[in-house]
Amino acid sequence: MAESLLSLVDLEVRRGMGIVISGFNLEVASKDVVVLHGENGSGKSTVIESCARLMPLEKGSVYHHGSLVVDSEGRRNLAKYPFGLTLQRNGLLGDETVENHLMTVCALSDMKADLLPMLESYGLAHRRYDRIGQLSGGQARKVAVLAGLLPAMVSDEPRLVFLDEPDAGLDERALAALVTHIELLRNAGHAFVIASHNAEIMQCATRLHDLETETKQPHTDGSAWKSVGIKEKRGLVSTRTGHRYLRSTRAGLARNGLTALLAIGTLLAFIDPATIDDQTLLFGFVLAPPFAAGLAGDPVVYLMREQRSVDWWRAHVNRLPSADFLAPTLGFILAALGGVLFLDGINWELSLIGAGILWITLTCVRFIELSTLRLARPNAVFIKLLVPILILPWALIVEYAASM
Amino acid sequence: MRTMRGRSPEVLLFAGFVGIASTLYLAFNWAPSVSINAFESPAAQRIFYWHVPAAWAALIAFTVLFIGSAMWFFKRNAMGWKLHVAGSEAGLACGLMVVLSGCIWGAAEWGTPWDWSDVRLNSFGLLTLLAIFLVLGRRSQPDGVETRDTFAAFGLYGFILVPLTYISTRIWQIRHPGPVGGIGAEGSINGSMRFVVLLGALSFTLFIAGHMLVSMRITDMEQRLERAQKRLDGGN
Amino acid sequence: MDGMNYLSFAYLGMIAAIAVWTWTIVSRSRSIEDRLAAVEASIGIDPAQADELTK
Repeated sequence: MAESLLSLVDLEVRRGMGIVISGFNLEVASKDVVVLHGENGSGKSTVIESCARLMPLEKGSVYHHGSLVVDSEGRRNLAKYPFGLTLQRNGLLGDETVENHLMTVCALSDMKADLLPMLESYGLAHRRYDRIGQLSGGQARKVAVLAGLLPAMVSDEPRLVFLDEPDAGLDERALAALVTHIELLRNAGHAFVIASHNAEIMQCATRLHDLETETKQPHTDGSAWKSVGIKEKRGLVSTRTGHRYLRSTRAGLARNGLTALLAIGTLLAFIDPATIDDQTLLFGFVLAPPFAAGLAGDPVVYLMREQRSVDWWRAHVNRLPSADFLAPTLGFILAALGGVLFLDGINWELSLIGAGILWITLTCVRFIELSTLRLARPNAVFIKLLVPILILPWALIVEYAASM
Repeated sequence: MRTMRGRSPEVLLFAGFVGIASTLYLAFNWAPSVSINAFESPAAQRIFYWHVPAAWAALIAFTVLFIGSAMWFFKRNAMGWKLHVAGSEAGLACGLMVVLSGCIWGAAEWGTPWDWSDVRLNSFGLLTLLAIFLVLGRRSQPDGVETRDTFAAFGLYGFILVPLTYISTRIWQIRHPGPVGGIGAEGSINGSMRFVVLLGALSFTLFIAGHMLVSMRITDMEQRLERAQKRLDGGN
Repeated sequence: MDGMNYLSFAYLGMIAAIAVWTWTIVSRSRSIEDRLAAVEASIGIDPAQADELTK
């Protein structure tokens, strides 16, 4: 019997007030293509998102390659091997180039690949260096589908691929390429769970599942996909990706830096530092801009709210891309600048404290923001109501710094 | 037609309101003046008769909020969610009263309505902000386990602020005074002052109990309405 | 401003605020009660079925 790549055991998942799936079991082995084709609202996307460890489970557990990835007790482990994922919404960042995004997908598998042949088969070769935000809806969907297939395309070992309505918005050529790729990759031993009503994709299925009953479809093996991946170990993918986002968008400077500069400008508009003797007050002026910049939140999280990009990342890594290095660097620079403007010159100790303040503040705001991601409308809640909790610790640090 | 028993939350609410109004009347016209030397603004000190009982009621509401949050978060208990909603709404009402009355008093007595270095002031302000966040946030979302889990988790985060508020004046006496008139404590207020404060505490307790019962009934009716409307939509 | 005047304004403002708040809650309760009665009457729902999430 072929190795079980995916096991869903007695799954029960809620959405809103209702139970969407209950007592659901599924075993997916190498060379399986399971197409979920239940009617709208039957729970197809819920199954895919549960497989990708995005849904909290009421009951049951999900295993990838025999290892637990998520269960109803709240355990949420990284999958032992990378997997492919295309969500219903693309999960792409508009400021990324097509090539950078696909290279990042490869990097998550510790691989690199020549992407040109794959891009050509989807008619995207000429868009390789374009930003995803410049593409049409259909082209962006092609990128998302290709990103879902890539972990299998670059691997010699069997991989899992989850595709949610991959045909939505694809033209005939891209749909044909997708069907061909599914067949070739299946023959190479990879396994698919696909939510779709498309007749051509349903033809690829070895098993058709309407979430209640399953129908087997006979399938014969044909030619198989030959892996195009070259091993390349690259650590810190999340960190590097976060900083690439920041370099390409300047979001860190536009959001956090500008907030801090406005704080400095506002202070200087009313205050002449030369007339103030109170050390605590002056230190407060120096440390206020890094604090204000931190309260603006993590610019990478802000960017990743686009198109459920944050969910795509949450499925693959435990540590999301973030502005890890930007925060202390910017904090240091702002406090140093504050030293020049409000004190006699740069105070190095205070600059280090500024770096710490910005980093800690940004991390706390980021934690609060990420805590609301499960909500149906995360942008509709007023996160900033909770950030004043950080003012008292900041005030205590200022007093401590002044007493040093 | 509702019975008198069915209207008991409203009766409690109105009894509490009348009690609060009476407390304020007594505080204004009957309670003795404090020594002119003890306070910068002896007249504004009378806000104390509003401020302290409101803080007591707010702490009851926030405790209910946290118990409800825990019941929902750990047990998915439907009553727990109703307590969470009732606690956050009542906590918002009383929290605003405490913070506003504190600002009015602070402006007269300290010369500043707010001091970022006073721990009790800030932790109470934060509890009130948490209540605003919960009430507004909940109204912005469709009801469901995602919404309930998330806001119950925020309710639990806030839990650390309640004991912090309680102990803060015992540890950091920056602006706020230490305990006044506590059981077994050497109270700093005399008999008639204590009577007005206790009347205020009783009135606010009635008010907050009525408020929470009305809120729980509203939540219950909203859920029934949602179910009924889903049936009208033809859904499940 | 004289201390007692300041206090009078503060007290009147607070009493007015709490009265408005109380009235808001009660009227919200009445309004939803009326809507619920109308909808439930139209489809004959059993009130005991409310909030069955934990079942």
